[in-house]
Amino acid sequence: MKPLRLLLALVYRELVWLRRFPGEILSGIAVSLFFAFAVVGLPASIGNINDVVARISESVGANLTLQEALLVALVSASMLNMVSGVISNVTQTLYFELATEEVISTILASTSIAKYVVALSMVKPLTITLVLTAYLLVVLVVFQGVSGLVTCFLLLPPLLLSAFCLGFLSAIIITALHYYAGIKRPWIVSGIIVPVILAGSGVFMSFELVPWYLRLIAQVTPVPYAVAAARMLIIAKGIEHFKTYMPILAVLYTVYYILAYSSVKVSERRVKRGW
Amino acid sequence: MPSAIVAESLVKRYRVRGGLRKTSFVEALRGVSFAVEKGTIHALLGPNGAGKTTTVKIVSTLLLPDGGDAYVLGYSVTKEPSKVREHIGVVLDVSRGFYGSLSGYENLVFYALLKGHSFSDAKREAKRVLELVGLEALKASNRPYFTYSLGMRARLALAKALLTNPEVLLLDEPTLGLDVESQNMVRELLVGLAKQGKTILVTGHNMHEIERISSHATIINKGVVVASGTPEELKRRLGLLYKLEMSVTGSNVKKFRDELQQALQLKHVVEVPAGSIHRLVFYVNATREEIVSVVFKLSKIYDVEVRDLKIEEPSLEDAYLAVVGAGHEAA
Repeated sequence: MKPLRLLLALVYRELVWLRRFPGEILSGIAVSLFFAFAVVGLPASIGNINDVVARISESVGANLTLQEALLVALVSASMLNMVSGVISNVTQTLYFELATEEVISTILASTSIAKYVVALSMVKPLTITLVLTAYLLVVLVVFQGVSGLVTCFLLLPPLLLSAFCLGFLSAIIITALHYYAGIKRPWIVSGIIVPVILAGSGVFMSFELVPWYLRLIAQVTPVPYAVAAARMLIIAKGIEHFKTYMPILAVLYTVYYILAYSSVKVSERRVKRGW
Repeated sequence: MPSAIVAESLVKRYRVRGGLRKTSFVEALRGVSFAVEKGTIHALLGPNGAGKTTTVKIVSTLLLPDGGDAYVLGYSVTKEPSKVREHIGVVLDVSRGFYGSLSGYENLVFYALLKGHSFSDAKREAKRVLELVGLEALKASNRPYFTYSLGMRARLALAKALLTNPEVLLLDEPTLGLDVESQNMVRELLVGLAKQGKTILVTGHNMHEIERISSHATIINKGVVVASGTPEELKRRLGLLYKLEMSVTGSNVKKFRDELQQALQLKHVVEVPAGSIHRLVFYVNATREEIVSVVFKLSKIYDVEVRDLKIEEPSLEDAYLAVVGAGHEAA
């Protein structure tokens, strides 16, 4: 089967799914916007908005204006959306598919399970990320005019590379859980992984306040680098983030791709032997 | 007639993990061989755990055998699995395998795309198979899958197997849990497909259904083939010409039964005492006339009243029970 046909099938299914769940998409965006504005406007312990801006400036290591602080909060919220959306969706879909021989037999009729899993681990994060962070385009254009469009365009590569890595990571985890651990409720695991990655990535709080082991876990994921790249883009308004963080994200993408493909391939062989 | 599916000495062992470092093996198949002729419906029968599903999975390339090989239209399932997959449609579980929030039509378009169709072909193919299984007529093709009844799900599972118009269908208990109407629909559909030249390997427990639709059957028990052939051949080979059922009463029923057993060389006697009336079931290797003559002669000798006498040709179920119930382990 041509890889393009496989991608077409997956994109078709994603689009149908998205059409079926407009409420979920809108609520995801609304919660994310609420979170971002609440970070700047309504922190529980800080009364003065200038203090809020000062705290956010301190956490990112630069002097920010109110607008920039709000953008940092919005981008952080989009990261949150992306991480939780990608991990929960990829794990749930893959778990259902790997556990259902009907689906596996149809996948095998056209391609290998490994190729399918890798393709799904890219297509799903792509659609989830684009849909759940689309509001950034509107917000950036409102805040920055035409240059907001450019910022949004530059924000996409680190965001998408990061989403693909998380898709592969989800595939690795779900393959291990399904084929080796026999865990029946994988979404519980995804519910643990998401806050661990986010906590250690500096999305909620500055790195210094996060325990070293959480930082360590987060640092082998792409999220802290994507967060840093996005913040640098908003603060420096240039392509510096490409030079600094894109090589790291590219290496992580390659490593995760190889790990995901080979782990599914090994599991596929075991399953076929009835182990 | 050439064979569409050939299984040659299939062996399959499953690894079972006991505890720490303890691994044992369970032999699911111990040299299963059979052949399915082109354009026929071939039933694979056996009790739970006999190895039917393992056999279907091996033939559908989902599982590798530990020994032997199987061929679909001449292609080896171990050496040319992709060629095999091009020619088969598989149903392993009629109630699963679809995305709940997508409609039946959308599910099928997705699977058709996955099988390599272009978008327009996929849409056309999905409509064709939906009409074929009667889901278009039920106006269910655009409803989300999670709203489907089990009968509709079974139809959709068959529709998926029929995408790309495969020559061989492998169906694992396609009527399991279905209501009578849906079972009839599936049966009619399978018979119609066989008439069109498709080869169908089907497993199941409902012997009456299997007997109505299949031209050949293979009975597996404990991982080995215990009998194979047309239903008539199976019955003849097992010596099950007639099934004799009678209700008798009298003081010498036991002697009457023993004499009858000796005179007619009865096999597998089942006796159900119900008060003073005894219901006896025999499998008899004799002609109808001989049976009637001997029964009435002995009933007079032992003063036994025959209240009810029924002689019927044994069904496939009787053959199955005779083989599996008798604990046969080899053909």
